[in-house]
Amino acid sequence: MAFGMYRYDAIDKAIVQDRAAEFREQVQRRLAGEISEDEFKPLRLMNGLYLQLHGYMLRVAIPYGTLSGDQLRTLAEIGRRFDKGYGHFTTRTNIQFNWIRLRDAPDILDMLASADLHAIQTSGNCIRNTTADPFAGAAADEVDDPRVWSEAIRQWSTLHPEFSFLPRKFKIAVTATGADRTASRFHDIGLRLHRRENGDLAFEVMVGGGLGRTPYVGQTIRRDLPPRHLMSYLTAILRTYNRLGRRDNLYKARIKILVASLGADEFARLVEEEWREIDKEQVDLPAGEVKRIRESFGMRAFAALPADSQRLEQAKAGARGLAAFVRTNVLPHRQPGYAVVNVSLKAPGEAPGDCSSEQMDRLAGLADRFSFSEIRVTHEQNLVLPHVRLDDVPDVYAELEAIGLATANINLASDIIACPGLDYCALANARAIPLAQEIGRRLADPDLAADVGEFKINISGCINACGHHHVGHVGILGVDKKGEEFYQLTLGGSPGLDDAAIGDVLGPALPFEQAPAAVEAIVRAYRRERLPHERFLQTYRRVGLTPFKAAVYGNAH
Amino acid sequence: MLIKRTPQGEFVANRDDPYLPLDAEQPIPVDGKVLLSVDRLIRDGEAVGRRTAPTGVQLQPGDDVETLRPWASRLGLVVLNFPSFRDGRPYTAAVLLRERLGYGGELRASGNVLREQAELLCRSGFDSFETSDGSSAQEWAGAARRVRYAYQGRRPVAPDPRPAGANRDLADAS
Repeated sequence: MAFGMYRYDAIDKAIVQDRAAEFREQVQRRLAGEISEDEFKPLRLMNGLYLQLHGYMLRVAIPYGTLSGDQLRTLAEIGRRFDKGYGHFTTRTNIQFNWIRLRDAPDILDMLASADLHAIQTSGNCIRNTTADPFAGAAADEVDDPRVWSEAIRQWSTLHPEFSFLPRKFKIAVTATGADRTASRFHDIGLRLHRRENGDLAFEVMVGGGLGRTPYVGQTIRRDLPPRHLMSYLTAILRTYNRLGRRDNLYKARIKILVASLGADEFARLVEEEWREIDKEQVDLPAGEVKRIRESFGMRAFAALPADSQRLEQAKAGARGLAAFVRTNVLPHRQPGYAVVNVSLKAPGEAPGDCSSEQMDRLAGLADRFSFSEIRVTHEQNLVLPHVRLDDVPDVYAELEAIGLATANINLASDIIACPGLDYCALANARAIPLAQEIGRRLADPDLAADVGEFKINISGCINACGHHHVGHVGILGVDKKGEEFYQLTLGGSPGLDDAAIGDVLGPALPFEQAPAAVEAIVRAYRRERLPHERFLQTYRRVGLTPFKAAVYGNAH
Repeated sequence: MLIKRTPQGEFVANRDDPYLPLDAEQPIPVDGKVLLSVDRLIRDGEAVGRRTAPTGVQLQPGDDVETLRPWASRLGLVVLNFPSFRDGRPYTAAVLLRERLGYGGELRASGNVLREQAELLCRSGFDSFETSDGSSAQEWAGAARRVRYAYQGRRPVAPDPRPAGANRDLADAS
C-alpha cells in the first residue's frame, strides 16, 4: 500500500477559483489602461506571471512535485494552445511556459483551477512551492509519506495573511528518508521526518540553507519536533524572520543571512521563545485535520508479485537499450515486483527540463496505464513514474523510446541540471542551455558514461543559482566579463543530507568555447586519479583541486 | 481616504479623522483625541496617563509592539505604517497586538496601502485603512471579500473570508 494523491475538496477548489477570478479582473484593469505596469507588476507576480526577455512567462506550481495524468494533460494543452507546444520543468519542480500572452493568462489560470492546479506563490517574497521526495510512497526506508505534510504546508502557506510580504522568497523541503533527494540542507527550512527511539515521528528542523550569491548549508535548530506542532513552529520561524530579516539590501534579505549573522544558536533561541508564546490552538492543525488530509490522499493497493520479473529479464536479454535503461533509470521500489522508473528530460542535444505537449500527453497515458496515474517531478528536472510493475517495464520503455524520452542517463554525466539562462531569463549573464547541450553531447557515449558513473553537472546562467551550481560535482556559473560570456567552474559540491557541501572554485573563468573541453578534462583527470570503486566526490575529497587544476589549466599556465 | 470596517463587517468611508497628530514639540493636551509617535508615548507616559480622551499611537515597521504592552488596554488607536506595500512587518505587528497584547481598539494601516492588501490586512486584525490608491469603500469591500475561504486559523479574525478549518469541522459534524 502507498498513498495516492491529495484530492481537493470544495474549499480547496473555491480558493483557487476565487484567486483566478481576482486575477482576471486585475488583467482587465491593466489591459484597459486603468493601472500602469508598475502597479500591475506586484499583482501579476503574485500569480506567477513574469515579464522575461521575449514576453510573459507563467510559472505553474506543481505542489511537492506530484502530478496526476489528467493534470499533466492539462499542462500539455496549455503548452499547445497558449505556448509553442512545450513547457520547461524547473529545479523547483515547477513548470514554466515561456511564450505567454497577457490576455491569455486569465484563461490559463481558469484551466489550471479546473484541474486543481494553480500558479499562486510561484514568485514574490512569500512561501513558495514545497519540495518533497520524488520517490515518496515508493522509497523503502520512508517513515511516513512526506507529501501529507507538504500538503498541510501548502494549505497553511497559501495566501497567508502574515507571511505574504517577507523580506525575500522562502522555500521549504520535506524528506522522510535517510537518502535525501530534496537538497533539504539548501532550503530556507529543511524538514526531515524520522522516528525517535520510542517510535514516535518527529521532525528535524534545519534553517538558513540556500544557494544564490552567498551559499550556506542549513543548520539544525531542533532535532525532535512533534509533528502536531509543525505549523506553530513554522510560524515561529517565519515570524522571527519577518520581524528581523534585512529589508535594506536585496542580496542580504534571505533567512540564511539572518541565521548566519545571529548564529544558529541565537536564532534557535529566538524561535523557541516565540514558539512558547504562540497560541497553538489557533495555529496548529487539529489531529482531525491531519487525518482528513491523510485520508484524502487515498491508498494505492499493490499486487502481490514475485520480487523478480521473468518477463523483464527475458526482454532485457535480447535488447541492449532496455538493459542499459533498466541499469540507470529503473530503481528499486519498496513493494516487491514494482520499480521506480525515471524519465530523463536530458536527451542529447535537448534543453534540460524541456518537454513537448505531445510527450506530456503520452507520458500521462503511460502513467494512467502503468503507474496509478501518477507522475513526479524531480529537482534534477526529470520526471518519475513512481509505481511501475517490473513486468511492465519493457512496455514503458518501448513507449518512452517512441517519444524520445528513453535516454538512459539518470545521475550520469549527461544528466545535466541547467537554468533557462540568457536564452530566456532577464537576469542571466550567460547562456546555460547551449552549454548543457554541448557538454551533454560530449559525455553522452554510453560506455564512457557508464565508466564515469554518478557525475552531477549543474549550470547556472547567473549568481542567483537557479541551476544549483554550488552543489554540482562540477558546478558551472555564467559570469559577464565586459559583455562576454565566461564560465566559472567549481568542484566537489553535493546536495546530500549527510555530505552537503558547496563546491570549491577551480580557477579563472573560461570563455564559452573552452568550457566543454574543460569539463571533459575534469572527467579524464577523475578517471586517472580514482581508486577502484571510488565515486567522483570521494576522489575529489581525497586528492583535492590540484590534479583537476592541472588538467584544465595545465597548458595555459 | 479613510475606510473603516464596522463590527458587522461593513466597510464605510470616513471623511474626517478625529485624531489630531502631535509633533515632538507640541504639548500633550488632557482632552481631545491625539495621535503620538511611539517615542513620544514612552517619553511622556505620565502626561498621557493623565489624559481623559482616547490616545492614538503610530508605529513604524522597525518599532517593537512589545513597548505598547503597558498601554494596550488604554489606547484608542494604533496606526501601523507601511512605507511600502512590500514591507510585511506591520502584518506581524498587527497579529501580535491583537493576539498577544489583547489590543481591542482601532487598528489602522497607513502609508502605501492598496486594495490588493485588503484581505490580508483584515485577516491580520486591521479594521481601519488609510488607503493610498483612491479605493472607494465599495471597491475596498469587494477586494476584502474576493476569496471565500482562508486556510489559516481556527477562529475567524475578520467576518470574511471564513477559516477553512472551522468549515471543515462543520462538514465533519454534519
